[in-house]
Amino acid sequence: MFVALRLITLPQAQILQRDAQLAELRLGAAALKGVASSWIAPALDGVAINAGHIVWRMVFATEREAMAIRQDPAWGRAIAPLLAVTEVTSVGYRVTRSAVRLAGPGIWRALIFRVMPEGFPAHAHAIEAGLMMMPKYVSSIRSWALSPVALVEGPKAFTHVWEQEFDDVSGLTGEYMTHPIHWGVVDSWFDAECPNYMVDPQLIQVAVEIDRTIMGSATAPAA
Amino acid sequence: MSRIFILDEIIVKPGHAAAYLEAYARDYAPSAQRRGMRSEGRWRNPPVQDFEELPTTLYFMWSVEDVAGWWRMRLSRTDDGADERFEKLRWWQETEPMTLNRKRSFLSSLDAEP
Repeated sequence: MFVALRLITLPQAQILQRDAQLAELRLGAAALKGVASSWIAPALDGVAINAGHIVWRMVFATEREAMAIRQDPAWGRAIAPLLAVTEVTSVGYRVTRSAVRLAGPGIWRALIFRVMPEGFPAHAHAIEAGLMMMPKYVSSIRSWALSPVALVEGPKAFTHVWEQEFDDVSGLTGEYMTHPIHWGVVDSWFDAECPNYMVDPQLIQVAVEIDRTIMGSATAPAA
Repeated sequence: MSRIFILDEIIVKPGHAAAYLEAYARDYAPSAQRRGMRSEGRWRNPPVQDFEELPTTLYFMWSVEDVAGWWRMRLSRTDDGADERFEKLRWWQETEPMTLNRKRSFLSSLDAEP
């Protein structure tokens, strides 16, 4: 399973038309071939960091199909004109480490970050191991995936995508943030005051409301 | 949850302890206090004095009120609203030439556990 995640920042003049942009994108996305599932939604403002306005998460069977999507005539016809005036940050990643529980409404959240070059491989492995401890201790995480980035589009060479789903936003702002596995252990790689600080501070946190699980392979139909 | 303690252990190169302490008091401690950190004590090893042949380990114990206070410290902003992490990072990077190693630990009191 290969995910193409696009974070779309609208020009100032179009922000008020975000709903119309969402509708047009969904219409255009429905015509694309080779997409296993697609989720297009407005980024939740309250928890967003450098997230843009619209989140588009597409799932493909393979990376080859993800890379070919922009050659689809439907992309050129319907999607490219919509994206032409926007800024797009895009990451593509193969999902190999995840645990997904099919569930109903909630929120999907992703932390997209870059481990600094001097952090490879030892610190990167330690950060990954630390993050993967979190679902064991933070009960509000109902699904998760930790993925190395394979494709990137935009100014920052992101290296990792850390995704979770929660029943509601309090699962993120509450237990996830207050559990000591987070602030007492894992955060030190993200904290400029800690000697093992190794994550580029210009990271992305993005969340969207979902009406059902969007992670995993047996998820939402193309929409 | 009760107070969270932050212990910095900083191994300073031989002959640099006085300069490090002066810089710490002038440039770090005031900003840490602005972030809600309360000084709980300071120690040195070897004890009592510096020895020019030996590194000196300085121990600074701070505390914050609780988890919310910890995040206020961690996500602090400067007076003009900018992310303060770059200021914090600059302090630790600028003083690094005086040090051999350092460690920061977050501690909770065993006596405060439910």
